[in-house]
Amino acid sequence: MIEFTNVSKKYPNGVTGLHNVNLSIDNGEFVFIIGQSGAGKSSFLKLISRQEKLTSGELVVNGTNVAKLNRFNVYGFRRKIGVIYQDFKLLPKLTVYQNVAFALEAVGLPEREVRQKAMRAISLVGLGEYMLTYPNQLSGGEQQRVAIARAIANEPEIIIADEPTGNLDPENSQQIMTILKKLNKAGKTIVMATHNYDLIDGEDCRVIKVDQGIIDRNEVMGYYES
Amino acid sequence: MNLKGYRQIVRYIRDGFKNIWNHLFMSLSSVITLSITLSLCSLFVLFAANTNQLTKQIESEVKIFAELFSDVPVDKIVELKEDLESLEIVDTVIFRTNDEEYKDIVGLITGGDEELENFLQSSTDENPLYHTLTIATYSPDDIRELADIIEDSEFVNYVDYGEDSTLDTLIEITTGVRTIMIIIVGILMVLAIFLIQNTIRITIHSRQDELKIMQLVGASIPHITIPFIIEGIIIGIVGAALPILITLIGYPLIFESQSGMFIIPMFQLAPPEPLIFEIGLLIGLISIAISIIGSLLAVSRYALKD
Repeated sequence: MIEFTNVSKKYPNGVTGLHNVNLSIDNGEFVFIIGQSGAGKSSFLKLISRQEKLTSGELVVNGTNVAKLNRFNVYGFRRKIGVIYQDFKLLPKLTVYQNVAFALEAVGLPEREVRQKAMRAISLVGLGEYMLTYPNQLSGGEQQRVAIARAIANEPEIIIADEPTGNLDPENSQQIMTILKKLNKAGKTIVMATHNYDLIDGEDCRVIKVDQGIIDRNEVMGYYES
Repeated sequence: MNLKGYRQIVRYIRDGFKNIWNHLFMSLSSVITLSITLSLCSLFVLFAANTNQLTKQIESEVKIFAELFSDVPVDKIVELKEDLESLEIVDTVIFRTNDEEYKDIVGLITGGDEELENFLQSSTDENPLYHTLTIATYSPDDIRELADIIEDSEFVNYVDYGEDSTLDTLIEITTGVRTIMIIIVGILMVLAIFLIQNTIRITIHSRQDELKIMQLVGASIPHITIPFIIEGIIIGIVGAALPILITLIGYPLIFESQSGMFIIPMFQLAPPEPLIFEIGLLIGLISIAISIIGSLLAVSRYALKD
């Protein structure tokens, strides 16, 4: 459960990211965050994954009061959240397997567990045959699937996706959506920011529209345009 | 330590070496600066140890020389000598009459020539010399005070203990040189810290993407920063190796080649053992301290960020 109570985010340069947001997202929901560039979508996601600190209000993510996290305990919280970006953020010198294993090693898992979890995650996104391939040898869609594998490898409860299909063609975008929906069906909460209305329309998901830091629309089974 | 802890340490060390290998040139320049700094440190400590030894040797040679009027009866002088000997600070007191002194001088001038000796003794009836007392103390620190006491005696004509001797000049020079060396070593240490810090910053910068991902997936602060601190410690250990070797091998060689003395036999060089081992340990500790400070400064940005 993700619960925003009067949450505001103001950046040091005076820009308002979010203003007085109140909403909650249940476990296992698939939520689309839409809005124009600079509307506050990324702020919304970054607050959930605690990449940014909120300025005021209260944000509880799966029982953790995010505002109370400090640098010494935030890492434990981050392990429960998988993050996917538009630009994949893969390490070019590492193979597909190494990219996924790297994230698992970083949290200090034993080698055997790293191997098992990495291989399972890579298979889940359908890249089992590309384990030893380098990112630059893969298509954009495949690279994003590696990023998804990395995000889900440590079995997080929530997946945050910041425009994961932003750099992909419709076919690849659809593939990514299929994977995310599969993960959602497996019980993961998915919060995804997107501009891609083709993906939203017709899906039975909640749509939250952010406009100038304010929640403009919050509809179950929503559409890109109301 | 459990298996997990052991595995983590192995990983940290492996990453530390990997970082060095990836920035070999920068790491080498840090190592060289550190080596120069620590070599100078070693030189400085060796210099200090030897000048200390030299000063002590010279100081231990310092004695009070008192001239007593020739008309003072010998029994009074013996009394004074016994009084002095009874003092705790006094080591030895040697009394020589003016006749003994005269004989010595005549002997020195004539060089054993009997004719000349007879001539000199017959040419004067009166012995112009004074009785003398030569007093040695256990500690050179007591010389000045004791000299003042002796000077107050009514029998004493003149007291000398070399207050304006070369000893003071020597101490002044060595103190000056020591101060300059401390300043130079201090500056070099700051420079070494700065260089190590920069080397590690460059490594951190080049691994920015990896670190970002590590933070995102929930790597703990020690997990992210320890490999960089280990990188610094490795630079410290490699940087200390050469100066330690130079000290361990070089100083005993100098000592041997000079037969343990400095120019004249009176000035003994400080014996290599245990001095070289102490300096080796000191250099090792300074080096590790410098490298830890440098790397902590470099990673502090990460450690302080959440």
